[in-house]
Amino acid sequence: MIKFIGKRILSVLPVLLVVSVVIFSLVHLVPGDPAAAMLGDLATEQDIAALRARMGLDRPLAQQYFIWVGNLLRGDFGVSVVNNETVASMIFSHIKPTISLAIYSLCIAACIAVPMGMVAARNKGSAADHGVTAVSLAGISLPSFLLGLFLMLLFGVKLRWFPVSGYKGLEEGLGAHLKSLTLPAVALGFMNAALMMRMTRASMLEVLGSDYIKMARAKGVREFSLMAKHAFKNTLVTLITVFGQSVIQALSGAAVVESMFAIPGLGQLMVNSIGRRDYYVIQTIVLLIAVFNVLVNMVVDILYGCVDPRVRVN
Amino acid sequence: MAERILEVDNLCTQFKTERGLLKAIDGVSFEVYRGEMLGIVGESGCGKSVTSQSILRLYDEKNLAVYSGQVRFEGQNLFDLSQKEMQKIRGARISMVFQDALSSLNPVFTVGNQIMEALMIHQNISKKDAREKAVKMLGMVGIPDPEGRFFQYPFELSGGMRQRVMIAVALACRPDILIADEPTTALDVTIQAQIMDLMVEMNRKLDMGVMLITHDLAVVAETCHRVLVMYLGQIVEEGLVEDIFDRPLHPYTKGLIASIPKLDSQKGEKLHQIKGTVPVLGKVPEGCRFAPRCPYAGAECRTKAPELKKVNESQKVRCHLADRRADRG
Amino acid sequence: MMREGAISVELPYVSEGMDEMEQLRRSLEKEQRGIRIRRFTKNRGSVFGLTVVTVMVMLAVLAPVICRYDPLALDTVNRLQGSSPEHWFGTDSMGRDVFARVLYGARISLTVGFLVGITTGFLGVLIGLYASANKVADNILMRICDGLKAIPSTLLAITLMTVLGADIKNVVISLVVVSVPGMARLARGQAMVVREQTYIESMKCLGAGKTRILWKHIAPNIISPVIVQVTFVFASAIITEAALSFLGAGVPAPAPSWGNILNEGKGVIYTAWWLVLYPGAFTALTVLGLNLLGDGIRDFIDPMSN
Repeated sequence: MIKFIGKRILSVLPVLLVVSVVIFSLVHLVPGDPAAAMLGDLATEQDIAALRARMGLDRPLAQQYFIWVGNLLRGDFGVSVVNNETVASMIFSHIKPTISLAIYSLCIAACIAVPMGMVAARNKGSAADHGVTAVSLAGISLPSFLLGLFLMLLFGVKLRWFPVSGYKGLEEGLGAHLKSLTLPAVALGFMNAALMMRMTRASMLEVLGSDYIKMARAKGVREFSLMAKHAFKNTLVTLITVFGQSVIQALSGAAVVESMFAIPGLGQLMVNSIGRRDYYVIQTIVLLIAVFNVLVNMVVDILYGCVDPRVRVN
Repeated sequence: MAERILEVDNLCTQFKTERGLLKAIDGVSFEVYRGEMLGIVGESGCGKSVTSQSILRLYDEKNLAVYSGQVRFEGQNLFDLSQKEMQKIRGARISMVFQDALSSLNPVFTVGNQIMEALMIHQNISKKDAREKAVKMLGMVGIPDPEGRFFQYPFELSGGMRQRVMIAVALACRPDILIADEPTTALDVTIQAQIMDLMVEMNRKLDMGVMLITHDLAVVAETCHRVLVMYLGQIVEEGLVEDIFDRPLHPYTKGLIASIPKLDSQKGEKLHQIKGTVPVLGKVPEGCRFAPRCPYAGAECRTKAPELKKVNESQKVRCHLADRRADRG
Repeated sequence: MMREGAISVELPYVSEGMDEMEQLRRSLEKEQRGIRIRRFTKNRGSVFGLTVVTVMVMLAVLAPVICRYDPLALDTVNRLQGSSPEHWFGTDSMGRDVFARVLYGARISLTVGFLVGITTGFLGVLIGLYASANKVADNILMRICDGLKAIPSTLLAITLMTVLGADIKNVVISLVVVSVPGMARLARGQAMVVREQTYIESMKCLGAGKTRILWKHIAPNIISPVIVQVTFVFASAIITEAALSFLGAGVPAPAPSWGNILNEGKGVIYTAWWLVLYPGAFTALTVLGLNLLGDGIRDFIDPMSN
């Protein structure tokens, strides 16, 4: 088991390397001069040259890359060209709402989707099953920003149950905090919920049709323990994967949802930085989420091994 | 004869499909006696497996299967029981062994756990006792180092060992009847023989009725006391092993026996084969179901369906021409 | 348990003659095609999807004929009007006709989605095929794909758009970059499977050139799953384009893309709900239609899947 975990952790390193190279190249292989682009039309020659020097753009690309990675490893993400704040502190001050939102939306998605998917699989062809299939189809066709707008129209504008925008921090009370995050969390979580439902249903159906379930039934296992023990543990592998994907989806989807509902999180920071052409901020946020993604996948792989003994051997 | 423990009476199983009900087995009747080994043979698709799984009511009754007829276990019709009562029969009184042990054992639980589970469901015993009994079971089915194997997962065992584990799971609660659905088909020939020896040994030791479902007539000839031959969802011939192998009456049985490869056959001699293939369910021929493939079929056979008739003390056959040929010997 | 297609074919009794075998094969094939078409038309979802997509394409193509207004024409007197016989979907904050903007928006969205789908399909097959043929190329290409796939697609698209600048051409480029890794992986996987099959082996023995084997024998055999995937890429490109435009990083402002209309609509959501509802409904409907169509095509190509 320890050998298995060690192997998994080691296998992450090359992917991280590629990710960092890809993100580095994205920003640096742009046609034109990033310094000039950042500063806009009003900048003077000296300003641009100064910024180039500060960004190290006058050095060879390979050297720039190693300096960048070295800085990253020391926790130095650079300084925003817009307001001279360090990128690290900007990210730090924006991370809390994003985490809240992600957790909230994941909870909503998982609590609804997993039991619903199981019920649908158990009663294949029933009204509940058709409902679940319809919802999961709607989920993959309704991107979060569209659903967010529709939710705003219905619950914010028409019914006035929830605020259309405005974020209340945890320090203003849990109730107010959750209330201000409910619409964005649903908007963000719906697609995940749909995916989870679909996958839960599909893998549950596969498991329920398997020989070992028949065998367990022939052994006299009660219907509940058939589902809760025999089927569930085998479905867990799928659920872990979907959940891992959903975590990433919740973080990356935050960009759109946060800026829509005016939540001062990472997503909004990123979208605001688009207009300001603040490459460092965007680059760093994307890198952090990509690294997080790789790590989540690693954890998913390790959990696989815990659930399914067969994975540990290969 | 010994005690009659299971009576299947006019059992029909129909499946709900996209194109309506499909009759998979049609009026199957037979008995199982304590201590006997009953072979059920036929080509694939003839309804052997459906029969066995219908006895335990393993098909989903809401969406898939419709049963009719009776299955009486110790006089009690199993179709009258609730699912809860049925669960007390399954695994405890009537057990089942499937063809492919790798897919039939749950991959994410240890083999010991899976044997213990059967014990703990049906017998009110502590975890510790269950563990002890499970280890004993592993030893009984001939697994070396049962304590060590107890903690292994199915994928870590060889095919033969897995099959033994599955037999251990099925026999853990000392059932009255063991249904073995093609228990050796997925195995190598040498392992097949070992598993069959184990089945015979268990049959004697535990004095239970064993229903051995197989398409391998050689296995039946060696191990079973009585034989049912099925074709297209019906029993076409029933009798003692000697009856069936020495005096087969149904042309289908004769065909099956003739197609067993023999060691003493001449090199280059062609193996016998029954003409044609099993028709698809739902396209059952009129008259005798075997008529389109039968070398002897006459006009009567193509229009009138024959009944399963008793021809002597132990033998029954479903064929219009059987009487005549029985006389001829 | 019982699959249609698997059991509805009646096998005649085994016969010796080659001709009869050939006939049997033909009748089987014909039966298969029948099953496929029946499956497709019987599945209300795929028929619905096909209908929606067709209608959307028609609306987009015929937009200049259907619309009485220029989608860019300002009319400040009639701003933020609700729906009326004059303006079916109302007007926006600059008095532009929303119906016209939504239909012209369909042109932009469908064009972007189509271009992205086709380009991704082509590049994906190209990369996948060569990756499957060459170990070194495979390692390099697939590592790059892994790296790209590790970055969530929306974020990658946003980054690319920031770097490249808001422009419809750049939207297509970004979305292609985002979608190609998945397609390449799919094509490579399929090509690997086909490669293992014996007839490719025998081709090699016959001395067929590498390129010839790749394009003449492997490519046609991996095309079905690629087509299905192209449909889904099409759908997700429409979503991402709308999201990018909604964030102001997609198609530049005055152009009537669905995302742009929604972006404007969000600002006046309290007074002009129609600015959100109509383009939103069009987007959702188109994406739903494409997804259903994709499912339908998959069932059509492989009736046994599902």
